Amino acid sequence: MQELLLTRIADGDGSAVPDCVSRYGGLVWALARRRLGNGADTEDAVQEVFIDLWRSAARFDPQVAEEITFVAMIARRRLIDRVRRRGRLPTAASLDGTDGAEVADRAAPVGMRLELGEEARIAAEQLGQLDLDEQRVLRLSIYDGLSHSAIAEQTSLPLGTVKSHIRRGLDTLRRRLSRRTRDDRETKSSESPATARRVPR
Amino acid sequence: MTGNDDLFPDDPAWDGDPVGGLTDLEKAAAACELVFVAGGPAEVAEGCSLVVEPLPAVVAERIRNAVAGHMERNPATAGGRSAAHSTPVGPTIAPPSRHGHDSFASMLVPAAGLVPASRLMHFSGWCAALGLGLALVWQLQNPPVAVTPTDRRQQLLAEDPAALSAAWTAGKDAAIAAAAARTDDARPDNARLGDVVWSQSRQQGFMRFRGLAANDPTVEQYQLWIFDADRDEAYPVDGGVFDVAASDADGEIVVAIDARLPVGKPTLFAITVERPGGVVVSSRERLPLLAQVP
Repeated sequence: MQELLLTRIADGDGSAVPDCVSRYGGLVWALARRRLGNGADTEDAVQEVFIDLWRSAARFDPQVAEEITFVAMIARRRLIDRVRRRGRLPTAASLDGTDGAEVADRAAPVGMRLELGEEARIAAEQLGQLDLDEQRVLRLSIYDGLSHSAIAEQTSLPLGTVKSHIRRGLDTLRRRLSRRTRDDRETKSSESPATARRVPR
Repeated sequence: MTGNDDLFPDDPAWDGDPVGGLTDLEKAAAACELVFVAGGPAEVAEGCSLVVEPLPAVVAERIRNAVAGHMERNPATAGGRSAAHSTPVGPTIAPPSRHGHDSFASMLVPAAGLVPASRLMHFSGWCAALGLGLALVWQLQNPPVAVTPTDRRQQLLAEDPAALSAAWTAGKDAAIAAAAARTDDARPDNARLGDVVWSQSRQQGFMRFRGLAANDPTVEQYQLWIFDADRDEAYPVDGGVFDVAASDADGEIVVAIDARLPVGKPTLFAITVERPGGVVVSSRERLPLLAQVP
């Protein structure tokens, strides 16, 4: 398991900040470029995310969310705020789902690898069980940030179907993730100090 | 409108602080986004990792410096768990603790709970003794440093002669009306209402106020906005929220500026009155003070 940088930051370890930028900078950068494109505004957005991570570190609880998921949540909210402030909709170029993919593909050969964690693995498993229409609708909503009506227009699905795909898909995943969190807590609380085993690193 | 507005139409969490009001649905959405960034469910099934382009070195350096500067300027508002009530003397700018913090805090274990209680008990005595010893050595070896905003303002002016200064002028708002209406004070505004100083090279500044009315932080807070010639005028830089205590309202107070973004060419500083925690975009309905950069 990777060392938890947000816990170090919350403990006042200033040296964890550059480590955090090194570990998650690429992820936040990819998310920001996806929503905002390239430009100074994107750099500002990434900076804003890291300042918020620093401010929020004390509230991070690894039993509630994995660190990478927490980082993605903070980034999502900051970026959505920024898109709202701009009053800007995603551009037509981003609607075809290619420009972000190009970013990822182009980055792949020279990129840095980041462990996604159990929560993303569960999400992938859940998404993999959906049919292609449902998967596409969730992608357009969560990843491309399109409104329900824009998704309906793009997919030619009725608006009600779009809404129910999104709500059902996320709600099912939410329940699975909550169950995992609960199970984890119960497992940890049932492990007495005498029986808990140390795993050599 | 983004997709998220439709996704969570009744969820006020989307309108506030990025941390406050954290919901399970957001966690699910974030986990999904990670999967899509990684290339989709099939890609993640093959190996639970993600390959991303590293943050450009120049941007990474800038962010490290910005966060370090932010930490330095806000030692009492850090993400650190122990800082919440260690505000130095005098009013300082608070972190934008928008409306959701309490609800978020209630969803998590208490901050101190992240450290096992047994460890805390075991080491607390040693830590306290060690801390006291180190503090004593530090005090002996280092002269006192400026700790109040007033001292830090003076220090900034002494160390950066190029720091700009702008005088506050009164807007039409009850928060400054009393001070603005005083006819027995013949001094110019910059002496009467206070001023703002800003060091461009350090990206640091302080506001000085005289006569700004006390506020009830549970009802409203003051918020600073910095207009920047390099940015769209519609989107000034958020300079943070702050309060004026009743005990300070009659005297002079100094507040540190907490610019959330780098400021290129500041042209105007404006104080608005907003809901507790501040806002992302101000309606500018209440504008008690303005300071035009000369």
